[in-house]
Formats: sequence, C-alpha cells, structure tokens
Amino acid sequence: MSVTKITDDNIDTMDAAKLTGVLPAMDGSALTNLPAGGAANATELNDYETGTWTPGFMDGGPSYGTTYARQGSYVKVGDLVTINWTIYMGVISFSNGGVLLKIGPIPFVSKQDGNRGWYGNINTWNLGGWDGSTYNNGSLLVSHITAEIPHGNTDYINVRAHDKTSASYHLKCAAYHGGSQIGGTHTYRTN
Amino acid sequence: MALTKEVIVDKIEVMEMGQLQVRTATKVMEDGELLSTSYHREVLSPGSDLAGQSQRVTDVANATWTADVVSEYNEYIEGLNTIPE
Repeated sequence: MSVTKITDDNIDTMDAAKLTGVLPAMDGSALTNLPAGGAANATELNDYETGTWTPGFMDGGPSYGTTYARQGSYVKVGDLVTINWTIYMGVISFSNGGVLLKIGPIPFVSKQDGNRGWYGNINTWNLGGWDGSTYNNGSLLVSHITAEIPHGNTDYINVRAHDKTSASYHLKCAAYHGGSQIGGTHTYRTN
Repeated sequence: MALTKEVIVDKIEVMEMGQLQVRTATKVMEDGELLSTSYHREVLSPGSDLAGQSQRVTDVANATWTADVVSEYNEYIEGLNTIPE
C-alpha cells in the first residue's frame, strides 16, 4: 500500500516501505485501526464515536403532541463529548408546570470536574417568562438564559433564566408551549 | 444481493451513581457483510421507567437499581437542584 500526495502541479507517491503500521480508517461511524491507549500512551486517540440521542423534558410529565423536531447528535472523542440538540414542538402539555426545566437524558453521564458545571450555548425562540404564567409578555421576558450540565454524574441539562427584576431562577416547564423552540450545543467530559 | 437491517443493544454501561448508559446499534448488511453501523444513545437514571426497553436492559437495571441506589441517586440530584437565590 502507498500514499499519494496531490499538489497543484505534481503528484508524489510515498512508497509502501516508508509506511509503518496500519492507517486509521472509518468503519461506519467509528474509527478503526487506532493505536491502543493506556498509561504509556495516554494522549493517543483510542476512542471515537458519533451517533444520535433524543432530547426531551425530564420533569413535569410532558406529553408530546405534534413534534416538528426533537433531535440530538453527539461526537465522542476520548472522554470529550460534544452534543447538539433541538426541541421544536407544535403541541405539548405538562401535568406539572412547577418543576425545573431539565433537558435530557444526554447520551453520556457527565464527569466530575471540581464543583464546576459544564456550560454551553442555548438558543430559544418563542419561549415564555420564567414564572410560567404567561409567555410573550414583555414584562416577563427573560434577559438571558444559561444552560448547564451540573458537575459530576448527571445526565441532563439545567436551563436557567435571569429575568429583569430578580435573581436567577430556573425556567419552569409551563413557560414552554406549543410553537416554542429550544436547542443548544454543549461540550463536556464523561467518565 | 440481500440487504438486511439489524437493531441491537450492543453496550450497557453501569455508571458510578447507578445510571445505565445504553447504546443501540443499527447495522445494515449485504449478504451478511457489514455495510454500515450507526449508534443511538440514552442514559437511564435509577428508578426510571423501563417500558419499551429490551429484556437485557431491564435485567441489568433491576439487578443494579436497589432501593439504596435509587435513594442515593435521588438525594444526589436533589442536592444539585438547590439553587441559590
């Protein structure tokens, strides 16, 4: 086997004698032929995986009606995981509107890293006020929202809002209604 | 030429607080030769609903989720949900 280097004006071929070992290759959604990990090679890549997961509301007894999108994907390299997700609902109801807004279960349990959470970005559209009593009400619109995977051994994302008049609160499920969209991207470590 | 699809739970991992990390693999084969594999992941927390899970996942969960494991997990999560005002 040889490797060919292609440039603008010439083609160079590296002969097989200069290649040692087996080159990494894709097998479905996983990398194969990677060097073995372990204490002696702790920095070598020995684990790569991509796939999907299904984000949802973990509290409040959600009942999903019309679903426009409820999708998640992940890429895992070693113990580092990046997830991307979207929940876009036409019809949804909660049996309990007084609980915290928790999104999950994320595809891998988070790793302990001191007392720090794993923060990521989050996007919302047509989301209501923090108290859940109404939505699209100017006096209750949140000024910004944060999303955190709590530190250590957790499998969900906490969504928190900072409204205009008080300190930090969690959004409540009732603030999420038909036609709302919420999504985000997180990178975190797993065990 | 026969294309077949196989969906199996190919990995179940028991985590420190009792969660199960479950990976489902979808394999597409042609005449028995593997063409592609894609993965779907989910995490099951201690005490969560097992409806729709495979028998193997249910067996692992029932063996792992003792009353103490479920109780400790719930206390741990409740502690994390306490928000300073």
